[in-house]
Amino acid sequence: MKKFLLIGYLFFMYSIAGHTEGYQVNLQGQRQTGMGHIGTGLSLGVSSIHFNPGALSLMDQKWEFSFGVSPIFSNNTFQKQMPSTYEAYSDNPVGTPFYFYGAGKISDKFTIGIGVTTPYGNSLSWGDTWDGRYLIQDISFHAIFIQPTVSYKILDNLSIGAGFTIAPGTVEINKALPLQNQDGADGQVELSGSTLGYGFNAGIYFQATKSFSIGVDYRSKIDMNMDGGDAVFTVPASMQGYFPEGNTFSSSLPLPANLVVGLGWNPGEKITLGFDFQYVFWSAYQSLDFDFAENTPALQDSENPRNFSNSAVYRIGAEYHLNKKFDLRAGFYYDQTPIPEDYLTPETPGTNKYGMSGGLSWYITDKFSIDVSFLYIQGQKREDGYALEDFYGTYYTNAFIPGFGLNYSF
Amino acid sequence: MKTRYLNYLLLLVTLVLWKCEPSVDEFVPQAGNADFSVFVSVGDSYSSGYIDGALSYTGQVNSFPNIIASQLSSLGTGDFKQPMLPEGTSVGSSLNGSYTLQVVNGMLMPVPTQGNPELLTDPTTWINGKAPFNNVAVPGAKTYHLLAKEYGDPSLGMGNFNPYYARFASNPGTSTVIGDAMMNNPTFFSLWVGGNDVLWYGLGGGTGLESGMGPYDITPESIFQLSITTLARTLTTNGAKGVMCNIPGIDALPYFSYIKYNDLVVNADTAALLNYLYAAAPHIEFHEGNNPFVMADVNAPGGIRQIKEGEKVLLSALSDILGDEHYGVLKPLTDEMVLDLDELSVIDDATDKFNTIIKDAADNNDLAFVDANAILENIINGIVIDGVGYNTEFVTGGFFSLDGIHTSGRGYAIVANEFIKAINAKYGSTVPLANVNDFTGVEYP
Repeated sequence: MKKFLLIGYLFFMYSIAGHTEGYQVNLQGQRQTGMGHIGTGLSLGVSSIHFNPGALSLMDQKWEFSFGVSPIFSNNTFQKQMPSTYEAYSDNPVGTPFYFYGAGKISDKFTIGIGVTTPYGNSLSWGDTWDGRYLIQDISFHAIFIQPTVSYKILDNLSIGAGFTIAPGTVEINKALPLQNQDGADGQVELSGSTLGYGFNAGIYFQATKSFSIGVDYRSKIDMNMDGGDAVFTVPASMQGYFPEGNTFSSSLPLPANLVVGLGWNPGEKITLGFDFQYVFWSAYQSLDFDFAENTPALQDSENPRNFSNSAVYRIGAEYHLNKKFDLRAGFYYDQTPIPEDYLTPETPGTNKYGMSGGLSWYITDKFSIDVSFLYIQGQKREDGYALEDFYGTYYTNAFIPGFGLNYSF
Repeated sequence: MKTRYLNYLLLLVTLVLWKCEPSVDEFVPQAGNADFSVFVSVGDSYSSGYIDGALSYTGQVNSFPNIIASQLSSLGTGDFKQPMLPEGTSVGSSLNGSYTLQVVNGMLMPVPTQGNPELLTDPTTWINGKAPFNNVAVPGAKTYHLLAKEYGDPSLGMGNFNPYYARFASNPGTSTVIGDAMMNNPTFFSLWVGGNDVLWYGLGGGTGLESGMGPYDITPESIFQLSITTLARTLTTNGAKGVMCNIPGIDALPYFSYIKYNDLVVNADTAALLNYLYAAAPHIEFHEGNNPFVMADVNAPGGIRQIKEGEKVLLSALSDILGDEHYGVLKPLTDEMVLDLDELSVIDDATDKFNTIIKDAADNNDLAFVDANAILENIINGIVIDGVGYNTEFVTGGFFSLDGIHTSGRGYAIVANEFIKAINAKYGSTVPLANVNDFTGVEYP
């Protein structure tokens, strides 16, 4: 049964192409990723720091550390609105989301820990000369969430937890300006900067019966407010006066809140099943605005409506405890796009997407395991565009995400 | 040993993942019920690739018929042969070269380059032996010119023939533009003429006749009707299909809208001084701020008056207004520099009448039709294409080139796409559109 699943999976990987989404990156644990990234309704040790701090105090051992990385190989193809023979392919840098968790029990009831994760980011490069260069050439956005966390076991089957999130972030956006010099070369704008955001993560975990568990986790919105970012313009000499050197900008990018309700079920000793419902409050992202310190008749503040709407992710996953050495996992999820019609930009070419994953843990010793996962993301092709810039076409995206992690507890 | 294989495997997997682009639905252009195998373009400067005040090699390469032809190439269209100027050359109707933007006295100004007048004046540079050409558009041509063999006859002497045609005519003095077009046995054509039948009256400041055959006259309606009908009928004789386009209204052209009627800005002291100077003409008044220019008008008291709102000052008057003689302030703008309200209504009437004739000809011959007039009206209010905004402002609008009459490279690509859309709509074809961003707009120093 499991073997069959894995073979089917490999076949799938080489035969079908697909897609990826938004600027949220859900890869915060290899065990969870292997199960369609469920985890809020399960007690999965130290990685609960992200998935549900409420479950952290149910850690088996006194100490537990976990580290992992999931390189994202993503490809985007853009086919211009028909009739057109134009196609563009993004050359995306390999994204490297990672996580580190460490926790220790300081008493029977209290557990403290720290998590370092990268749940938001975006790395996309369409090239300097592609047809949509006046909307975006490349974008690189990274945020690291550092989350000291405390968890408290109220009863043997009920625990709560919360963490405070400090999120340093950096962004760099490049786009062309339609101001050509006498060699026909475009003008250029580079916006870059870094900032710090704050938020929290709180959860509750309840082991209802021996085989049923339920968890609820809320991760707050974090506003990445940026002041004094560098705005560097390259324009023809006669236009330079309109684009002062040393200009700066302020902007704000919300990292939306998440509410996750998770259920866990152990139908037998060897099998765990889980279901997560994740609600993402994307409506926080209404507009991407750049307020320049110095404005000129040719350089006004830039308002770019995004009008995202709240979206849901439905996740289901399973773990099979093969023997003392191996756990096998598989999962599936469906992720709704938050991007409404006519607001689809090439900077975040989102669509409804399916994620299919598999994974395993290899327990080299009782204390030490190697965790691997593989996630394939397939999105529906989406024929849409951004009305305000009149840029339409069909976006195709896929992503292959192998993951590798280590877990040590004692 | 084993780890080495593992490493190779890892490398291979990485490469496969990296290169696994999503498969896409392939788009294959279709010709519908048109035959694009021999495409011919008949027209005036708009179809010739005239840009920045001159016909130039680069303008020809980016002419809208050439853009259409290259979009048609995926459908098996043969070569689209244009009467090319030598690479790097240009020549305008005043024997100037292409305009370029330059900073003059702190202002961005279009300045003509030297150019290559010999390409019009020296018949040894002409390319008559290479005829016929697929693009037989002739800068300056009115509708009836395309039917007249005199139009390319150099023996009539400079000023009495059009060297833009003579240079590529199959037989100067004997051949006609439409005859040269038909030598190709076209299966598909674009016909966009009529602009100059009205425009030249405007370029002359309305000094020409409302109906006449002189260069600055509006073409008589009967002649226009006969010419358009003959051109459309001739081109369709062998069953060819095609596309026709109407005349844009004068309002869209920066040449007639860049200088506003009240662009004369003075302070209180200057206003007082001007009122003193014009004391003998009390109907002329100045005040602080924007003021209408002063123009000559034989019907006004003392032969001068201030320009009314809605009247248009020609771009060609700019150097006189900015010059030492201070036209429009100390010296009245002449009749040739201004289109008054009466002249503008003459232009509007003629444009409407001619556009009705063009539309009828397109309908009667069952041809695709481009409503350039409506498209240009739309661009006046501003449009956005693939992340770039365009309007009809001079220079900064991006749609028109530096002469204020002809479009920029991107403007021509936008025009080409409008033609392609009309063709697709009429013939059920799916000719791919051009990427407007592949072309150059206005270039800044």
